Amino acid sequence: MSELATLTICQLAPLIRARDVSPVEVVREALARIERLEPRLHAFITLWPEQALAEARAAEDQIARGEYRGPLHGVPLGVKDNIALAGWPTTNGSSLMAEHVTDFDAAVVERLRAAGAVIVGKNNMHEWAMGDSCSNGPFGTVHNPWDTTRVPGGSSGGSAAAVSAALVYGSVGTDGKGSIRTPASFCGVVGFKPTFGLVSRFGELPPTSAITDHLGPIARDVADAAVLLDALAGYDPRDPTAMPSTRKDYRRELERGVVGLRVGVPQNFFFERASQEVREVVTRAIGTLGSLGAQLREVRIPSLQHMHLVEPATWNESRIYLLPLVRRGPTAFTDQSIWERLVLAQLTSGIELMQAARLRNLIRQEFLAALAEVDVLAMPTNTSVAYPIAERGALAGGMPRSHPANATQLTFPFNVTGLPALSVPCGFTQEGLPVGLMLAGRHWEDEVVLRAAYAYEQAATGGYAVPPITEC
Amino acid sequence: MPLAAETVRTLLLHYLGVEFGPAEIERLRPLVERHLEQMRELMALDLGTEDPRAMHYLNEPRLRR
Repeated sequence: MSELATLTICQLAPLIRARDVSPVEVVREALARIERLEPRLHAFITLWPEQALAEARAAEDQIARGEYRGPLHGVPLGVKDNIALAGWPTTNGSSLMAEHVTDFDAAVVERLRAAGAVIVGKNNMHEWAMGDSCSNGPFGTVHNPWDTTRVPGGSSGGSAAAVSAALVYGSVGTDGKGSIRTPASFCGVVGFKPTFGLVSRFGELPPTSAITDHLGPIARDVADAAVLLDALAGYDPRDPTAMPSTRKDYRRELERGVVGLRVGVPQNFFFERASQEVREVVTRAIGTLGSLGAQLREVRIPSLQHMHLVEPATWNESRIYLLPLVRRGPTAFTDQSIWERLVLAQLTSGIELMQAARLRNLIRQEFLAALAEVDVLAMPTNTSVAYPIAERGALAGGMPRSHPANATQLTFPFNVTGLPALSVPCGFTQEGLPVGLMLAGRHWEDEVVLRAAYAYEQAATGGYAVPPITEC
Repeated sequence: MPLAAETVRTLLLHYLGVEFGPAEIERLRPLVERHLEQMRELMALDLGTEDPRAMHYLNEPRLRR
């Protein structure tokens, strides 16, 4: 693999800007890598090489004219296939939408295009974004680049696999329960779910939740996540849940370090649910933050013990969109557990929804109280590392192991609270599988989360780790 | 609490307006039982008084800066 392939955006951008490297060369190499590895990964649903090369040529011309737009100019990216691109199929990972073509761009796509990025394809995902395995879907099973017998996580699994395997330099995912952070953790890359309302959801296809859904970057390292967030963030009146926010330079904030930063370590819920190996790796990572000068403090979020009751009373708001498909029976879905969950989601009454909203609020207030005493929280992203594709459907704790309530139970609290949360790689298990450290912070302080993650990454891992599959 | 198939059928017809067949009812029955148990557990939680200050969900302050 060429040296270009393993660069981060922050390393590649100066070369493009100086015209040492042409966007055409970068995109052509990316397409060649995709052609070579895609049969083993299935990280994309749609590719449009001709258009990508045309956009790369346009970027090259613009840069030659002195019209450089910034670090994403001429850089090949992907977007998850529930995000609209005008003229391209947007399938939501469902065969029922295989021919669905939008005539508009999602807000995040508009922003990436304005920044000069070249979108080479739409990333594969779990059907309807309702699962964490990305297995046996209508567009193929997505494989984890670190071990192709294992899942990439989901639902933005194609995005994370593509970024991890150096097929693209970054991607945009969606996260309603952990769908950016879980695949990022499983695939050994960075996934950031920003503060609710910071990144426009206009153009994210339903089923989308007005309570829990977020869009955000999946990147090779923390600095690239900051660069992507710089492009993606900003108020958009077309998204009724978007909020006006102060323009920040997320990349510039990275270098401030963590000396004196107060890092809260939850003493309930997160670690007790994680596997021993995940606990050990994450505990070491938090120790590294301490050795860098952060103040480690214990915190508790007591009401998280009831978190499992929030989910079943929350989903009817978003899943009612798919109610007409329930009539077709389970065979309307490749993952038939989706049909079951759609049915159950409609059994929630108004009073139960209100009670769940109160519980959600209680949990949120406890997080805010903890975050009044500390600046960020640090914990495992997931209870486990990537599990074998063959295990999908095996029982774990009375429910299918692939059920989102298992792999993503630690990520969901930050969806219902809207707090910014990021997964950064923090080491490997003895089997060589990546483990994710999750860092979360106060609303609208996304830069503090990025800063803590960057300090850890620079000290501990050095950033992007290239999986062995790229050498095959 | 175990539910009779007819109870599940009626419940789903009421909530979804969909008449499911016997195989679908049998498939859904344990899941419906589990869901109703969770909702009972949810409603049994003591979340404090009806103090208006505890009712922030009405205006979602997390959306305010």
